[in-house]
Amino acid sequence: MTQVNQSQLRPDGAGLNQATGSGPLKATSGQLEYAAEVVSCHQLNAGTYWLQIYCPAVALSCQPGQFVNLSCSQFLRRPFGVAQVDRAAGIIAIGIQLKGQGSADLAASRPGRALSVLGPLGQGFTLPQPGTEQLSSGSGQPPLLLAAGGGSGLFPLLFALHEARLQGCRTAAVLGFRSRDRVVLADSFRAVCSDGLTLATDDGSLGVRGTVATALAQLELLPGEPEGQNVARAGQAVTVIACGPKPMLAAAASWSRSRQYPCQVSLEERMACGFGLCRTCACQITREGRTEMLRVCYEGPVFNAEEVFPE
Amino acid sequence: MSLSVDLSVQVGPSRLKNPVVAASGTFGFGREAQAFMDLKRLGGISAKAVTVEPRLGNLPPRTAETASGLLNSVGLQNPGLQHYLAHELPFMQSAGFFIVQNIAGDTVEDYVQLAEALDQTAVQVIELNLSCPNVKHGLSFGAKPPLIREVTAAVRKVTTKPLWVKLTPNVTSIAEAAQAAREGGADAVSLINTLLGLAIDWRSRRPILHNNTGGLSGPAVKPVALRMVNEVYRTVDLPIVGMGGIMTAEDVLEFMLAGASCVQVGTANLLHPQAMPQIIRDLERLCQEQGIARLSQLVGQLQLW
Ligand SMILES: Cc1cc2nc3c(=O)[nH]c(=O)nc-3n(C[C@H](O)[C@H](O)[C@H](O)COP(=O)(O)OP(=O)(O)OC[C@H]3O[C@@H](n4cnc5c(N)ncnc54)[C@H](O)[C@@H]3O)c2cc1C
Ligand SMILES: Cc1cc2nc3c(=O)[nH]c(=O)nc-3n(C[C@H](O)[C@H](O)[C@H](O)COP(=O)(O)O)c2cc1C
Ligand code: FES
Repeated sequence: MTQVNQSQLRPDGAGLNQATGSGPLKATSGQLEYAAEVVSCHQLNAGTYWLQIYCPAVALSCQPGQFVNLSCSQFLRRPFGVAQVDRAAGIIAIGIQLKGQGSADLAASRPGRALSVLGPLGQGFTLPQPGTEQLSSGSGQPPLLLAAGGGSGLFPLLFALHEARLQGCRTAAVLGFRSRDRVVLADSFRAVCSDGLTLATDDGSLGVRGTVATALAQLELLPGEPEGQNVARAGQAVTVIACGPKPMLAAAASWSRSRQYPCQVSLEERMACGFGLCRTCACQITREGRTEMLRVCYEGPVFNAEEVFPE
Repeated sequence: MSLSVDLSVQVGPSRLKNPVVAASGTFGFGREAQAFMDLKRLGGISAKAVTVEPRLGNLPPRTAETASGLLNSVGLQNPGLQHYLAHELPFMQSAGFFIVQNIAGDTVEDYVQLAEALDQTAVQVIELNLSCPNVKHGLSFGAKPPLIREVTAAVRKVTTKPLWVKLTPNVTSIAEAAQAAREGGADAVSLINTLLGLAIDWRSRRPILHNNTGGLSGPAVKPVALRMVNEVYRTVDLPIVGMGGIMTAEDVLEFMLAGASCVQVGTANLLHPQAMPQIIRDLERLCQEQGIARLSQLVGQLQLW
């Protein structure tokens, strides 16, 4: 039986202040598949679960935006973005939205269940580096990481914001949900957002009425902010990351482009292997004016927004 | 002391250190896998199909899960012959594994051009993928024995490399297809390629694959593959490279008993990165346990009722 301290990683943001380490760590070996064990699984709301897995090797080397491919009751594995990492405890956490049989099976996991984990997979987000960007922008302000997410895409953003915060960036997030009762992890996100969390619901039952796109458009006119003041302070470097449904990614990309903020989007595609062998996960990317079919699992899932949504 | 086991096999003119070869399209050119395995331990790698011109492949979704298998419609995405010769082949050569190069074309001339280009290279075997639609006839090259014979013979003329002709199972008689490959001058037949299938999303009333149909692989096809391997073994005098749903060393033994001289492993690689090294280790252990000194002794030893 593996010894894990279950209290060390919780979706409510506890753990942020613990020594979870930061900065890129190289994978320790060429291994890709790990025998892992479920630490806990609990329900966040009607269709959403939080699964913690003891898998020290992946916890140690995983970067924000990377994902794991998990064995389940079905023939193929299921890919999930890593949502939280506790390097000291060797635990990773993922958020699961129920879709079909694979997600349901994983969500029904009991502590101690053996899982085969492939990971960490793919290329994650490139987070702003406080030192250098502060100098180059000349503002004296640490850079701002703004995360936009919806659906199952919000989970990996939590890890990215957490990591950026540890590295000394300022952080903010805009998250979209269908309605108030669908909202998950708000407190966890609030704990890693130094510059505010904006929630949007389709029916207006909480926060901004509308989508993430609506909320982004209103971002500079938030209550409490002087009219016309941008989300960023004068001269502050802003990096946008987005994960969620394609229309939301497109909205985040165009919002960023009009403000000349660099934007990275994380894509999803049906995949077989998840580690670059089969090319079933292809997405259309425009690089240097040419269309290429790149692998979401290998060259992605994170791409520069202008490569996915060229002008 | 444990019995020393000889896992090496003979496939026509080629000697492989063990019978486990990566199946084309499930292992790229070996680049990705070198990060997590010693490629030289494999019997060989059948590299991703190469076409004369670069191909972007089909639009996504390109895969759909099925009961014990998957459909794929990658659409032969590859960087094209020139890029292959300049970048992929040199890598494969330096990696030092047994190179089977899978080639695909729209016309007989395409296959001939590809084979000519590979003839003077480090490629050890040329594998003709005949599952591609023939531009002239609209049918796949593998669909009709005369076409199989024609394309095999045309390629045979331009290269002395061993030729494995990879047959599609989407035919009425696999034995006739294999016989045609033999008459065209093949050194072996590879079987089976994927079975044509359709997966439907009933909510959207659409096929899941953007290409509508795709090729079925994985354990779901294994019984069909075994039957075809055995049918060809019993009726055509030609070595067989067997594949379709191999996940374990036991599966390899079954294919060899049915008549395969060596095997290819495809879908299993996608589920378990260590599938092939594990299969090779297990083969050695099984042979030791069973007192089999030379694995190749098993080929075709199936006793029919
Ligand atoms: C890189 C990446 C990261 C992801 N991160 C998360 C996450 O953090 N949280 C979360 O809840 N979900 C995430 N998803 C989506 C999740 O993988 C799918 O919801 C899940 O595979 C559905 O499986 P199922 O058996 O429940 O559904 P089914 O519909 O029964 O799945 C059938 C098949 O379709 C595939 N599939 C279905 N929907 C998707 C999809 N949206 N993307 C890719 N494949 C799909 C499945 O993998 C499976 O092969 C991610 C997907 C990718 C590609
Ligand atoms: C994703 C994928 C891509 C494939 N691409 C090719 C290919 O380029 N050329 C080819 O001859 N066969 C290709 N195949 C077929 C396999 O080589 C093999 O014949 C088939 O998958 C059956 O074996 P398996 O069940 O072990 O996968 C492909 C199969 C898969 C799953
Ligand atoms: S899923 Fe196999 S290459 Fe991406």
